[in-house]
Amino acid sequence: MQELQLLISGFAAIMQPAAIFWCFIGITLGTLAGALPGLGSVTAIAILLPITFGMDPVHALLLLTGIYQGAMYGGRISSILLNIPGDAPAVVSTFDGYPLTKQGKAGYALTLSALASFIGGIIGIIGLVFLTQPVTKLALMFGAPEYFALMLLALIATSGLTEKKPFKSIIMVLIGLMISTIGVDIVSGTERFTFGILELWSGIGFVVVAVGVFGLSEVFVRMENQVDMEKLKSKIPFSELFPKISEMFKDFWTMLRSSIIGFIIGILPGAGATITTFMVYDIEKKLSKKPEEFGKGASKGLSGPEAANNATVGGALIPLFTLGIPGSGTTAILLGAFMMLGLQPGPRLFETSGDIIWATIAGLFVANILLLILNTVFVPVFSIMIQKADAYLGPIIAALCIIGIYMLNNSMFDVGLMILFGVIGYFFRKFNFPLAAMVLGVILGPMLEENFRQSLMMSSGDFSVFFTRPIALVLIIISFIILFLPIFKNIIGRMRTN
Amino acid sequence: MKRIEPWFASVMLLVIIAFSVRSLQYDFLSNDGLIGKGFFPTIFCISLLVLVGFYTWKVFIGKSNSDSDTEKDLGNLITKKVVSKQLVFLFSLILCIIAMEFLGTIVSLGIFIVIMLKYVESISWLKSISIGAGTTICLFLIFIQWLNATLPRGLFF
Repeated sequence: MQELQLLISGFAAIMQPAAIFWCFIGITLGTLAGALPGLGSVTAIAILLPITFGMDPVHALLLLTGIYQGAMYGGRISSILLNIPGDAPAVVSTFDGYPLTKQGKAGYALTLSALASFIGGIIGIIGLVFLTQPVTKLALMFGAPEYFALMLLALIATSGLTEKKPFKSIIMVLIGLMISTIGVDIVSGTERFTFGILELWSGIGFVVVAVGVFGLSEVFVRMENQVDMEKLKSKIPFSELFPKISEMFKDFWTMLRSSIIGFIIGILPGAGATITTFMVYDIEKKLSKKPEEFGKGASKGLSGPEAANNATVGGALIPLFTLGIPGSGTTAILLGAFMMLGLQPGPRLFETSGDIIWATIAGLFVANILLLILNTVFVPVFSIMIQKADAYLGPIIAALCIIGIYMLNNSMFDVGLMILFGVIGYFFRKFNFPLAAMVLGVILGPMLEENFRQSLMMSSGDFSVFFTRPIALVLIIISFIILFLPIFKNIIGRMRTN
Repeated sequence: MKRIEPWFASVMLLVIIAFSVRSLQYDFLSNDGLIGKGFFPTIFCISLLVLVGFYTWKVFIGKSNSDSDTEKDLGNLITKKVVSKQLVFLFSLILCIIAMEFLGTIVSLGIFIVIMLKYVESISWLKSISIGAGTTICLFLIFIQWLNATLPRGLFF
């Protein structure tokens, strides 16, 4: 039970006003970001990332992971009240959440989903506590070839290459990888793709790309989509926010089952919260004695996906902490944040910065408790904030993006680049190119190249090093299976129709 | 948007061509038989060249996947008013960055926020100035006072 001792030491580290304050700020901003249609955890973390530069690493991570968790909770608010999902994982919450609102049960739906989110979040973090050490031990067996294979797997699985039409995802991953090669080549010490521009010698930081394509391009998009927030007015009687306890816990087994499923799927790179919620909804519908109620306000159709959605957070953090690979767009930005704060996610993370990580994990527990309170008692406040804040967000986001990026290197060139990526990101969005795939490429590119080169140095240039080491071979085979599975499925589907 | 996509695809193709040409100038393999600095750039660029070339061709023959979405955008969302708002926002942003050197970051951003709220979001002067001033004070407290950020100061902050 070494994990419990370490967790307790983590709690001891964060039980101070400053740490709780940052945790609270993180979950409040996260809930708002999740609730406001269009924003979401990736955008919110990307915009606020530069602010964490001068901060204590524990406080910075409490803020960022708080945003991550808060967004998972917040997404459901606009799903239930407006039938407009705040973020992609909250789409499923509209299926039964909005019908409940139409039946005059908005308060019940919000409290039930908050409780489900809480149970899911806590189960996910318990899983995180007990699985990190075994996975870390496994990860210690990894060398450069295994890491290269792992990076390849992460890139293929998380960037959308497994989707039915992966064409644009492949383009975006390659653009990200190409951007990552800009700057000085660390082996030869000479430049690549700088085109005579001195400022490009240090490369293009992933923060510049992420803030531009997620943050600034969001401002352009917001000018098109004016959501009618007036509909939020007087929808939630305060008394309704506290239904009977028996009513709340009648779905307990659904929440438990969905949380476990969500946690397991969350660990897998690429699966993500969105796929999980759809999967859990389908499972619950099949298991239900009254499947015909699904889509018309079934409580299990809301509590199951919400629990699963939040359980993915704990699961997704396992590969990030132990292997140093992101499982989703949000964890990719978090990976960059770790590196920016001087931490190196991977098997040695718990050895070198164990105190910071255990404090962060303890913070996740605290955040969940605070979120449960915030998302039940204060839901009317959030609905007012969503209604009022929307019109002011654009210019404020732009101002935060400018200051944040300037602070990176005190460079106006970076600010200019960020604006350029903002404009490019806007067009990519309009033509349905997945932005997360590009940012993943920018973040994983240098690691991919470094491990590939180290592997070849180890083997004196022999490429068989990737196929003669069992773990690397297995990972490469899995990567290829994931990559070609949609193509095989397509071919088999066509053969069957013929 | 549908009219813009061929331009977008062409510009992307031109950029990729420029990168591809440059990547071919780097060593693919090093003298000691290991990979050179051009190994990954060449692979990425050539792959991109093929894919973006194919995308551009699809756009020009009118078979791009995004057609249906862009049609919807054209009808429902992208109006002349929206485009002019976006352009005003972009130019104001650039002007704000230029002004940062003269007026200082915090003041320039404050003015930028007020103008954006008034002319892009069509909010009343009173509300715009109040929100702008409030945000400016928050930015000053967070970045200058608390984080000690070194921002361009100009005449003011």
